[in-house]
Amino acid sequence: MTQFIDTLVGIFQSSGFARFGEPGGYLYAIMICVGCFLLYLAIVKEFEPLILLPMAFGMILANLPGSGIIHMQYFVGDGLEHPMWVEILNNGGLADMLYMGVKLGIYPPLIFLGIGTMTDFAPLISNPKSLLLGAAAQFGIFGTYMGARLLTATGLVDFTQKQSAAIAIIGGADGPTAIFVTSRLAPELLGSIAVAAYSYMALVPVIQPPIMKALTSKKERSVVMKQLRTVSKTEKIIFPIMVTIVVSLIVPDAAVLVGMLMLGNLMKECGVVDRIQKTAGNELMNIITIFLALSVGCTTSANTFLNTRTLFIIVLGLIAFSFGTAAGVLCGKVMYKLTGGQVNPLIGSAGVSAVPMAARVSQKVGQSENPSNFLLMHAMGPNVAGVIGSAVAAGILINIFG
Amino acid sequence: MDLGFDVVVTITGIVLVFLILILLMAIITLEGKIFDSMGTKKKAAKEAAKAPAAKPAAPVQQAAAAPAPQVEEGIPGDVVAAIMAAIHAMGNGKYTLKAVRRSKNGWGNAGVNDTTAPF
Repeated sequence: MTQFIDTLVGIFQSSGFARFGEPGGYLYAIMICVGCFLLYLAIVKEFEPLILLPMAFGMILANLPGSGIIHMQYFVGDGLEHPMWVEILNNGGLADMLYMGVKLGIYPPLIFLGIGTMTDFAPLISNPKSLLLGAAAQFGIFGTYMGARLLTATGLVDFTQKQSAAIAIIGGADGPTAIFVTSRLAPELLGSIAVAAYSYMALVPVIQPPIMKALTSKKERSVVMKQLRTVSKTEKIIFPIMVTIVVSLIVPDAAVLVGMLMLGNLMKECGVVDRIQKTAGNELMNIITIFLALSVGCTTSANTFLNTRTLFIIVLGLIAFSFGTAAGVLCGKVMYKLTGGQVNPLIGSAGVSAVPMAARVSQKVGQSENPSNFLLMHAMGPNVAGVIGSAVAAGILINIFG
Repeated sequence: MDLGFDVVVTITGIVLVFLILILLMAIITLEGKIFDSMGTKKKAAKEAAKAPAAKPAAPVQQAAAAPAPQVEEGIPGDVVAAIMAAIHAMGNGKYTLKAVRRSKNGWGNAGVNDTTAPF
């Protein structure tokens, strides 16, 4: 009988419940609650559910005391130049293996491949000036970098230059790009930055309209734009090849992101590789999404997530998003003036990427002023230009700090 | 703490993004102009080739006005109109709708075709 009771006590003492009672054990409970809240947002509110659901579940799994699902000490630590490959291969489990795809920068480019197969660059090709709006929205990234550095200068928080650059990329409103840059520059902040980036992407319809309305007049919002010219198939095929060569020659660090995006698009436009195009845009992308989101969720441990840094990351992320939106709209206003009122400034906000949500917001705000106005296709130009712009900005940041 | 380097990073970054995207814009604009002029030339050549042949054919075309399509009973008029519009849009007026009939295995055939065509 004593043996039986001792065995039961032993099992209880090694269980997760007992570890909640250890010093700092309550932090695990808080993290599990955060994970459940994110699950609620994904399932009930449908906030980017494809990413947020596996990410939140990964967060819960990683914070179940004793689960040991991931060993972040093998990947991140003081004085650790490279991941401890031998330890990972000897002692690592599922989440460690999946996380290698993030650490080595494999998943985000593969997601870009899938995005490329679903992206139509025709609105951008037919109106190349859209690229200016896509570029302007990247002010959000660089403005936030400066904001993070100024915050550090005030002593409120201590972000290194690499960490500031990783936080700033939230302004690109591009989840895979944010994860790609953070995994290279500040892997210790990966969980917080990924959660902030995807949360804000889901909140685009809430964050953007007040900024768009505040910066534009009723007359500007009511502008009906000219119909876009038809783009030939040859132009659509040349576009991804040309963009890859030009961008990669100037910023080689952006080659992997831009190259995969354009490869996916070339598969779509050429029309001769139907089978692999479907695979890249469906099965492959879905599999990588699960791997990426789950492993990123697993990196959110209590000691790296529950701190004032995460709060600042969330605030800076919001600033980045708002700043990018405002810069896009202001550039749209400049174009409105220069073209004699032919450009509706609302399409500028779509330059923050977040495809196609940001373009839909432009359409919705424009239609609320003029119900017969259809801005969607005009906004898709800056929207896809924003994807290229944020990938270029990511390449520049990696080049400087990587 | 020296913020000089950070200011340089911010300015360099945004200037580089703008320069790269402006370069892309210039290339795409140029490409568009080349393709537009090529398209205009092709169109003009086609019209020039059609013009002499079109004159004698005109009265024949008028005489042979397309007869109304034979529509199977039970198919609504708006469906027929939509089919006619789609055929006109896709074929640039080259094709005429002669009859509309219900097909028993249309979707099944489409499914088989979709699955087997790539092989």
